[in-house]
Amino acid sequence: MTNFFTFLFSRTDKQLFILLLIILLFSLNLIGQAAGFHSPFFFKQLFFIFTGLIIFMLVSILNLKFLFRHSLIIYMLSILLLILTAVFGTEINGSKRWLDFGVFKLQSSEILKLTLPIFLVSLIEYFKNRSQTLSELVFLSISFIPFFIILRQPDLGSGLIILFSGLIIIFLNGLSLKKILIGILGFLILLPYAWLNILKDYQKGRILNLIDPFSNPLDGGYHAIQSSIAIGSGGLFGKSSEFSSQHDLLFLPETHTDFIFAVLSENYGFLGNIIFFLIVFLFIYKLVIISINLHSHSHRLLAMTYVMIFTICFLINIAMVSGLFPIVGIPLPLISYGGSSLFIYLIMFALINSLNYNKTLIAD
Amino acid sequence: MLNSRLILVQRFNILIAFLFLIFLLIFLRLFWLQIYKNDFYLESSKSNYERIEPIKPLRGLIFDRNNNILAENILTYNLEINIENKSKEDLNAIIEELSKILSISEHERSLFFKIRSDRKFLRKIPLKTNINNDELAFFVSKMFLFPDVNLKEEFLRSYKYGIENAHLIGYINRISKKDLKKIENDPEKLGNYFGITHIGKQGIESSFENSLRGKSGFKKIRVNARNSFIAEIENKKAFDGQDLTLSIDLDLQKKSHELLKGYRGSLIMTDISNNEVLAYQSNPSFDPNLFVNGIGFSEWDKLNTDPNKPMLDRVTNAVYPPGSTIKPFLSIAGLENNVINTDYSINDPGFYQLPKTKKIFMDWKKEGHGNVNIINAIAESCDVYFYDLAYRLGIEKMDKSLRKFAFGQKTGINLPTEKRGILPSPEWKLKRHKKKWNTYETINTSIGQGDFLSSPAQLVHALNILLNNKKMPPLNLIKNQSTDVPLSVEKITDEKYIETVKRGMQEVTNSNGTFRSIANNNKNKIAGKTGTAQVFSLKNQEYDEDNIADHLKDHSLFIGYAPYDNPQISIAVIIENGGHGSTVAAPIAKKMIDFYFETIK
Repeated sequence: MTNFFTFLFSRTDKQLFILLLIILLFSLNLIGQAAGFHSPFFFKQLFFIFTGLIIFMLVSILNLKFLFRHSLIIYMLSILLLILTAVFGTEINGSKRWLDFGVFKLQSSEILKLTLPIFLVSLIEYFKNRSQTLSELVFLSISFIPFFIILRQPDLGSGLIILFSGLIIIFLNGLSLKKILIGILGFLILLPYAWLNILKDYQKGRILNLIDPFSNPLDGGYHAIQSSIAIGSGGLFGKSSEFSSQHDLLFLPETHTDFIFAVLSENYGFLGNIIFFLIVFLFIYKLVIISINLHSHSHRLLAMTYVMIFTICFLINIAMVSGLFPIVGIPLPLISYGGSSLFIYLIMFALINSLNYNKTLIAD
Repeated sequence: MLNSRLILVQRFNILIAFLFLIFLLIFLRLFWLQIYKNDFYLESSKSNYERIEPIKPLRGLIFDRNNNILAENILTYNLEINIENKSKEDLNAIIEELSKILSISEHERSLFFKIRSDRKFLRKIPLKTNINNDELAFFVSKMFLFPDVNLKEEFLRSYKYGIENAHLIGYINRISKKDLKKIENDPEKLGNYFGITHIGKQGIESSFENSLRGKSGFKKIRVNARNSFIAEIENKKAFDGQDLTLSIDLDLQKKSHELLKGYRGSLIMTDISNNEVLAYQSNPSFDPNLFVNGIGFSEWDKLNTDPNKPMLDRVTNAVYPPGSTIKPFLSIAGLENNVINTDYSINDPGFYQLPKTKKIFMDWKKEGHGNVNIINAIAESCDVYFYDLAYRLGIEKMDKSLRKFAFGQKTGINLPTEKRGILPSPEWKLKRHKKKWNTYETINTSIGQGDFLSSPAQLVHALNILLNNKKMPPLNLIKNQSTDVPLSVEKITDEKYIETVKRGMQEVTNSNGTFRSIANNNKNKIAGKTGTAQVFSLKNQEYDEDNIADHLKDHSLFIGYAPYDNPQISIAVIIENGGHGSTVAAPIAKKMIDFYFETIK
């Protein structure tokens, strides 16, 4: 048994793992403060973290060749899950995003964050000696399929993240400047169309609320205002000495999920935020170094894409909670309550970890 | 191979740099929120969870001198709905159910929803105020069906015998924007009004507003986002208003109201010894209870456009020519300036010719009074005697003496408003009309006509000064109130002059006096002076009481006191367009005084 753990740890980057543990401890503490240390959320999250770490270990020893070899099936299964969600999914607050497995509700769009990059990266080898443009069009099409399905749930935020992960791979893989400009131009032309035809009223409202949250303080603007109040009232040192009125008194609801950063800000203040950022920075820095130093092009591409997904989601969530970005349902990676998101990120990091360990073994 | 790695890392670095810029933006935003605007957001979070609820003081009660209650607070019940966590549909359903057992008007319903949308932080909103006893009983029996509907106690001001005391007590009414401005200018006062919706508008309710109102307290509580009570943070108790005991006698109020019925006029009766007011009545009157819960427009319009002006307080806020009631005071002026004495007499042929002119002034008695001295002059109200007196005295000395009886000055009565009246003089005329004084005006002034104006309160105040022969404290409506002003002991004139004038006033009710009708029926020893004030000067026309428009008829006045050998109470009565003083005002005064000695004393 001891040998087994030694085996596991020997395959893990120690610094990365310790930083990961610190971040998960932050998460546990904040969920405890937001929802209560005796609440089911706290214990469930404790369980998720424990399970997640086991998954992390197991994935770390996975043979990745297997993943790449069956990436098409993995992608198809992911899409199938999305379709199943659309048919059998549980509806919460007007959107069907979850598949209910009794003990566990799976947010199926999260899976795509993991599997879409694997599929795209595995195709690079195939397109190596073919037309670059063709590969880019294929990549784009493959990315748009899950995007459109998720958009129907509706979950614009997650959909855009999935689409973005595809675009990032295309960009990193050497998209020419000309095509980048064409892409931006096309986006700008499609923007008014999207505003009129794709965005729902509540989504437009959230964007407008960003400009002036007080124009509609009791409806859409409520979250934006209350989370700004929570953050702003935290000050330099936070309010942990007395009581944190914003979430204790429920003015900012659902703080253990999407708005957990507001709890951090309210309870630990600006200084707490700085410490938190430093740890996450070190973590990302570590990931960046590992990614750059991987030996194969496709491995590097996959690792970098995962790092980007993590960082973008991280920044979008904080921008959203601090009132810089419309309220889209993107949780704070590794911190917000929820199993699906946690497992997906832990698997991503486990894959990077595994790639790192196996870099000498898996030569190009 | 190497090339593709270079491009990849380069592109990766571009993305990282881009994301770092976004991070810097977020960092600045957090700095802005947490450091720069920290105070603002701390305040905002406080206002999220702190609610201040007023604790209202009970308004002081008002009693008459015998502890009969005149203004009280009666317990009423409001129906209010707890709106926490309820949608408009939920509330509509509750109201629908309620309307099956008691009447709920469309107005009440819309007002309820208006308050709900106007004041987001209220937890309970009244639906129906001051529900009647039947509805109360019915609701209580079905209360278990309505867990979210409460009965809320509220005290409502109520005036017992409101009509009898309307001008005296006044009323309270909702605080107007104008009142609010006044209150807001005084930050200390503002806190006292926290949660209070009504303010004294007239009469005692207004002049004693500060002591009657008391001081609001408050309860600071902590609530959560659902507006549910979490904890009490601070509790400052209210101080109830002070009760007030008036010098007024309720029985006299009822009697005077009854006596004035059918007239436009007023009556004031005082205790001679200390200037305390015993009766204060103006007619027609109104019901002050109408104002407490907000008077309806049609009722307000009716009160305001009524030609009889029921809202006008005719005791202190209406001024009239005093007519012959001025003569006792003018007599003092003549005596103390040695223009006349008890031996001096004139012959009255029925008219007076102003010396060095052809101007003729008629006596009210065409055939004249014959030979009259000061006593007959007062008793019979001989005009010619006073024309002569005034002419020889001159306006300057006349003015100086009358000023001692506080004509043209406020009586200082503890009511919010009071008219000053006019004591005409050359100085006054120059200032007011920019014109020189004419001698004939002196003659007019001598019989309380011309520009001379005084309120009934001023007349009774002047009479009390005369009877006490000293300066009097302000007329006072509060029982046994020690005044701050030390009572003057200095006599205003020689006692023997006072005695002479009192003898004259005593003769008024004797066989030759103007009020001789009670000569054989005066067991309470009433003395006084009648007055008939011209409203309209008739030029070359006979005054014919039967053939003249009502509003042009003379005002009927009487001032008096009793008993004449030991004066205790004094009275002033005016009946607008009532005709002769002796026929209307004086009999009312007599009935009042008799009632006082028979019933009260």
